[in-house]
Amino acid sequence: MSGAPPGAEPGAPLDPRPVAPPDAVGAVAAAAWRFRWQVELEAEVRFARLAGRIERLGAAPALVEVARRASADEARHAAHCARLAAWLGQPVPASPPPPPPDVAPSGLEEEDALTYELVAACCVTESESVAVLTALLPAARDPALRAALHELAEDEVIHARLGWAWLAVAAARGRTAFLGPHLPAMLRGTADDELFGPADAASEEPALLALGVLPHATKRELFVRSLEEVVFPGLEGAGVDTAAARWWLAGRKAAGGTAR
Amino acid sequence: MAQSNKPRANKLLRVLVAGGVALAGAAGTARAEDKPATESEKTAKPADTAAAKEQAKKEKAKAEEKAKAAAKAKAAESDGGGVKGW
Repeated sequence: MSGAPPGAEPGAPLDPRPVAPPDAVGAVAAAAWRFRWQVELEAEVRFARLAGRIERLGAAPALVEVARRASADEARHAAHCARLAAWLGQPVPASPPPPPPDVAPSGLEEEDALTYELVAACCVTESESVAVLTALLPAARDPALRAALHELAEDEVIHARLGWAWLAVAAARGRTAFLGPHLPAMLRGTADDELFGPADAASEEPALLALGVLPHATKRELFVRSLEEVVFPGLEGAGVDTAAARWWLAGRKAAGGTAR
Repeated sequence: MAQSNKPRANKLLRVLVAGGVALAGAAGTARAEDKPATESEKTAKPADTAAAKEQAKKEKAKAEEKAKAAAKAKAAESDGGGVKGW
C-alpha cells in the first residue's frame, strides 16, 4: 500500500456536520477492514461447507466447483482485508474467528436448508457486497486499494451468481416458495440495527470513500436500493413471495432500525 | 440521483441474477434422483406382491413417525438468520 492513507488530507466539508479528525476517520476505516477480514474468513469456511453439501445432494459438479473456488477466493480476500486494516493502524488478531454457524432455520429438509443458506450467503450478502464494491471503486484513488477492490468485485460477482444459479435450480424443482416467510429473519441477520440507526460524525465522513469504506448513510441507502432493485426482483423471478421482506424493510426505513 | 442510479441497479440485476440463471443452465441442473432410469433399472424384476405390501406398510409407519418428528422439530424450530457482509 502506498504512502499515507488517502482521505487524510484536510478539506472543507460541504455540509455543516462537525469535521471528524483524520485519525478518527482512519480508525473507522480500519475497523471496517478488520470486520471485513472476519467476514471473509467466515465466508471461506461457509463456502467450503456449502460445496460439500451441494455435492452430497448430487447437484451439478460445476456448482460444487464454483463453491470450492469461492472458498479459496475468500481466503485471499481476507489477506487483502488484513493488509488494509494493518495499513490503517489496526492489525487483525493472530487467530481466525470461530467457524460461523449455519443460518437456516431448523426443521427444513436438507435441500431447502441448503437453498436458504445459499440465498442468505450469495443472493443477499454477496449481491450486496457487489453493490458496495461497485460504489467504492470510482472513489478509490490509491492504486493498491483500487486493485484489491477490483479483484474482490470480480470474485464476488461469481459468488453471488452461485446463489442465483442454485435458486434457479430450486425454482425449477418447485422448492422456493417456503423462503418467503423466512426472509425477514434472514434480512435481520444480514443488517443489524446499527445500519438503520444514526452514526457518529466520523462514520459519515465522505473521506472514508477514499479508504475503501462507504459513509454510513450511503451504505444504508445502497443496502436498501440493492434489496429493492436487485435482490427482491431476483427472488420474485424465482417464485419467492417478497411481501414479508418488503414489509420488514418498510418498517426499518420508517422506524430507523427499531422495527421487527 | 435515484434516476441516475437506476441503470446501475438494472445492470447489477442482469449481471448477478441473469448471470446466475445462465450459470445454472450451463452447469446442467440434473441431480442424481432426476436422471432417467437406466436400462437395468427399467428391466428389474417386480418385487413379490406380499413382500411389497409388507414393505409398503413398514414405509408408511416410518413416514408417519418421520412426520411426527418433523412436526415436533418445527414447533421448536428457530427463525433462521442471515449472513453478515460488507
